[in-house]
Amino acid sequence: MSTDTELIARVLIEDDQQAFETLVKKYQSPLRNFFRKMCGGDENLADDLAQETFLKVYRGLGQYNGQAQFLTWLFAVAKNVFYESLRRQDQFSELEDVDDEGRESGHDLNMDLSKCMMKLSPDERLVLTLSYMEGLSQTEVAELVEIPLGTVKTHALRAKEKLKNYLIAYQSRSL
Amino acid sequence: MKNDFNDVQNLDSLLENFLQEAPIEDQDFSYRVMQSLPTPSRWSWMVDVLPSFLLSAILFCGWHYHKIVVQSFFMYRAEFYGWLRDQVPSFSISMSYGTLAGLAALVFFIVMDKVTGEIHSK
Repeated sequence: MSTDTELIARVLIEDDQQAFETLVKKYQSPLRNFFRKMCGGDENLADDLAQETFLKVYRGLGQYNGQAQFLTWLFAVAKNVFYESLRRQDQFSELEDVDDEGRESGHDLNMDLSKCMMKLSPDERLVLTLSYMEGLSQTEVAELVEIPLGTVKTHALRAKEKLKNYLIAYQSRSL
Repeated sequence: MKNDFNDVQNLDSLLENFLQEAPIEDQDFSYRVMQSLPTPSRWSWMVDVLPSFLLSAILFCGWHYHKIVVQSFFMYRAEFYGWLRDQVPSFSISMSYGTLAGLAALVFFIVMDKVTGEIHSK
């Protein structure tokens, strides 16, 4: 099986789309999961953003310098796509607004967590998702998101504190 | 079952379980991505071939019509050098045809490389 570097070289030199498809198949799952968490479980929106990310990756593959792992670079592109989508339209505020109405439909813990995640700021959500989903260290997250390490630590602490409070509130309301 | 969210470890494990989900396996997505990739233009092959074609055409014409080319060159040479001397008094007439041809080829390749490079980058 070809390594990422070999696949990338084939895409860049020979414009080999099969090699790029192999990369897509390999990394589609973590990327789509990432966007699902960032979009409050909206699978359609998450897949649209994942597709947009792969398209940007295909166009900008020449800029990948091979210093970081390909997945890390992919998440850096995904982060930009996510922020662009936030700027483009206010879709996420709608998702945040429906949480109290949707709560009646079920009290599954994952659903509660998903809704609580959407109450966090995009930066806090991003830091938590990258830290827990991909198991990145806070230093790696800081490099990827391009913010100081201290800010990452603050976001992580604040996010967990907020989540804890939201979950306690949710649980007390659902009992 | 009530979860103790005040327990940091409990919250950490909850987040890990929530965020580390099972892999998503469906081929439709990769198909969808591949369909959205930009396809090469039907004329893109011309961009690759054009520099070689032009060079070959120049060489071919030069070989077949070299007499005319050389005669024309000689005809205008004196006039050209005269003009050049007026522009740059220190210019040496001993500059060989080879140097001139080499410079012309170099300029040609630089221009073609820039043109094809810009077309490819679009």
